[in-house]
Amino acid sequence: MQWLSLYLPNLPLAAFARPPGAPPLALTAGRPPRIHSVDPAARDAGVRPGQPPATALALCPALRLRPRRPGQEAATLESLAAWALQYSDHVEIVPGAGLRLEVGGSARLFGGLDSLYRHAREGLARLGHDAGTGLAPTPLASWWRALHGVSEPVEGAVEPALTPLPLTGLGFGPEVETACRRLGLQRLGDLFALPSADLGRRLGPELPALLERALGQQADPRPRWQPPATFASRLPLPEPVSAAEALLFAARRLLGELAGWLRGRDAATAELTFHLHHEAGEPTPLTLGTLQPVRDPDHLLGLLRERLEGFEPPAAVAELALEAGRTAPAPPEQADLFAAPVERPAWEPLVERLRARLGRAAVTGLEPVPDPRPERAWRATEPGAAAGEATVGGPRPLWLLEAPRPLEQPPTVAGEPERIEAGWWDGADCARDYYTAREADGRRIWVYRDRRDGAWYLAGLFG
Amino acid sequence: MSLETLLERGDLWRGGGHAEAPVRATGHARLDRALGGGWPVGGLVEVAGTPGHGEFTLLRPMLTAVAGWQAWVAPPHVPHAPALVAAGLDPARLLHIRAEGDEALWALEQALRSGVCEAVLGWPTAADDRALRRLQLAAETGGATGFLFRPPRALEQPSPAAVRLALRADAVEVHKCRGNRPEHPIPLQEAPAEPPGPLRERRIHAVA
Repeated sequence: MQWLSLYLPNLPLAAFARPPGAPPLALTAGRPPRIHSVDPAARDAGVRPGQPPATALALCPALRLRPRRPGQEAATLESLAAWALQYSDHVEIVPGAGLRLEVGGSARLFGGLDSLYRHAREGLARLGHDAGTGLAPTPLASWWRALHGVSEPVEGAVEPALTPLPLTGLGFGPEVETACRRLGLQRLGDLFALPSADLGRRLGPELPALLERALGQQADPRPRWQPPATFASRLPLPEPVSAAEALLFAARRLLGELAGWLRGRDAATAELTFHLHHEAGEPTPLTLGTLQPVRDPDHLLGLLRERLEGFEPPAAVAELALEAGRTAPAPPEQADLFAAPVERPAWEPLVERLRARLGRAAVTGLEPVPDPRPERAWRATEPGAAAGEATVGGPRPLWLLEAPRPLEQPPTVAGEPERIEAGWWDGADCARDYYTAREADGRRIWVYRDRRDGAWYLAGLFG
Repeated sequence: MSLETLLERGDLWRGGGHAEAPVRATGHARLDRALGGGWPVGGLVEVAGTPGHGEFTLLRPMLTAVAGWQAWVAPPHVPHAPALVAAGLDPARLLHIRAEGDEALWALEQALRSGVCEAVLGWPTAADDRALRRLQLAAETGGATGFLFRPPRALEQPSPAAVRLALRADAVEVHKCRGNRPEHPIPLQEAPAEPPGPLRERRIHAVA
């Protein structure tokens, strides 16, 4: 299992479209209202959460104040969840915070976990979201790393990846955090070091179970978001606009969400409708149709741009909504030319076909093995399963001869040799000095001198 | 003058050809210029030479840059995994296929046509004109770049391959490509043999 976590620290602001060049924005909440969230422009002007609105306006006269919209925040997460269906059919919404998705099963559709992760992060950025991301084998481990903005994927053991994380900001609650502070516990590693009975007695019975779930020692089944059968998403603008560029900016996010949702269903759409909501009166519908079902967001945005050319909305637009009409299976030639990486067909059928004819052993992956003896420093793996680090002590040739070939003439070598003396533990020991040499015609070769009999051998070709 | 000879001419305008065919950068600036941008995507590249004479120097930048699968079909020796990884190749996306004779041609065609592989490297023992045509078609269908490593004498025969090169240890001579082919051999820059630093840096050097 591999869990991808997306944490939106600025969800209240993300619930609004914020076109570039728009005035500074702050959201208010509470009674009497206080500043709750501020965008970077407002922050630069000195506006801070907790200030009374009058103070904020005095600091920044151009500031736009809007009440926070929790309902729209939930809708924003649902739209993001619909987008995330392209990566997984198991999406969990963490209310008010973000998403967790199980992506281990779909990694190969994206050419591996790394490229799926890259794809998702780039996709988030294109939607305009400022998100913390985490990738780890358990939902909590990935979530905690996302909360702290540690985006490096966790490969291998979970515990060392969590040990350095501070305890605060993980949602343990104020009592637990205070108790930890009193006990001098600052990082998750401090908790791991305590016996679990101790931990339960001092910090509450939930904590040991939580840690076990995070470390994968205990199962952690997560609820699965049930996506609606049709796509609908809406995005309010902090202040009504008529300019096409601002509308296109809001539309870009909606179309990006739609594209993710369609890709998750392996579908495309030939008809979609934007609804331009005004502050008063009926919304204005704007329908786009295509000859072929498509899902490429840039293509659709181009169509909308064309449609808005010379179009004057009857009133300024306060909110943009998008609804997909009929969907159809994605046509086979559909390639999202502008989405990276390019989707390619699954590789398994190719391997199966090759193996059916050539035999299983004839089709493999190759991976390095940490053995100092070059002949034993590699092995064949299942296709797609090869991994490994380059840990060699010197240059290695592309072609290593199956059996070293005795050289009649000692080659002309220069430089320091790489001495390999190993294998005493399994009887196949060697004592060799390896050199890079060049033949008369320029070919670079790898040679060694056997230190036991002084003979020279050709070990490989650099190519 | 036969049709074959006409098609061999780089300066012949062929109707229906794409003026701006997609390419993959070779990672060698002068070679990129000579080839009109790089290796053809959906095309065959014939490399004439003998094993050990610069094939990794030639292809390493491209092989480390491809994000998808690469297949090595019937190579003369098993590619040495530590060298591949040290050069920056992704071993999880490499397919090593052992095959002989017609089986090797068949495996090459499968890998090229599948659409799975971005780069397919093949060392077929023999490939006649008909086989090369099939491979060229398979590469076009699958959007792959196919590299056929052939003995030096192979260049004496006509071939449908989009690019034909003669490779020596330190230079490559273009025998056929789109547009005008350069008259002089293009020297190849070897990547540093010693691992001088972190892998990522070396990879950038190799591509630059």
